[in-house]
Amino acid sequence: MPFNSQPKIDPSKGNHLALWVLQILLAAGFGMYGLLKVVTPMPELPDEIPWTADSSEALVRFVGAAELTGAVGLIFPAAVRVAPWLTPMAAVGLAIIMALAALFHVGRGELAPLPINLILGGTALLVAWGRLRLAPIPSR
Amino acid sequence: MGSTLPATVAPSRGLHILLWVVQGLLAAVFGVTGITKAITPIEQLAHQMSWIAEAAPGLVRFIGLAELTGAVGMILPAGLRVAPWLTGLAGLGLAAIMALAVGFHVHREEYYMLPVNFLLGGLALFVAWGRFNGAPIPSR
Repeated sequence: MPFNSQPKIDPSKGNHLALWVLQILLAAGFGMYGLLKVVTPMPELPDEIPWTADSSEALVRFVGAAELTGAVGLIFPAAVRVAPWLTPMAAVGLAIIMALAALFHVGRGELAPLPINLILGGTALLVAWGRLRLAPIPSR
Repeated sequence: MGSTLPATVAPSRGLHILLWVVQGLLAAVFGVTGITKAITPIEQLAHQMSWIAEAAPGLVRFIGLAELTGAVGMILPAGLRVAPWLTGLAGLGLAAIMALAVGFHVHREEYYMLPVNFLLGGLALFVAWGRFNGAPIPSR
């Protein structure tokens, strides 16, 4: 097969590009799920998210607000380069939410959501590592 | 906080590490969901994934096998360095499955799964791009 095995882009630019792609994907996912949990009336929410039927409204709204905050934190501090270290902190926070979510679902005997928790949490940890060690974003 | 942290990982290794972690996450997720779709009795499967009750069993098994194949393709060709371009193709294949899943779920007016489809498809495209262009794996 005629695939070129030489990298075609500058490696350090590739890392930044790759991390931005991961940050945007995660921000879109958590932004949508977070907003859904924050604004949907409680009676309608279990149609979309079954576990909310058995949880207090405060917990659901709090989780949603935390996810929204994390989504904003993945993009905003890095994009405006003001306190850019907040971006890896946001990623660590989202990974913690996913770790707690995995425990919560295992406790309820629900195994189906676990792959989603794994991929979201794993990608968040990758962003945290990438923005702390691999390709940190300098402050202005 | 130290906002001018120097990168502590060589940039050219960084993209390889990012890609391997994403490949591992995708292989784990698609491996689990693929094998679930491939071997679980259909009646039990419908409890975990609501769309399965209304889909042909042949389609469910086919999607499961395609996801499993993609999961193997994330790891094996790149790990053994035998026909490593297959890993890039596996990334494209998984992205194609996710694009079809988006269309399917939109048609059924199930919007809750869309962020997951976008995230998984986006990560798969990232692997395809990375292994074709950013950090290709040389053949033995």
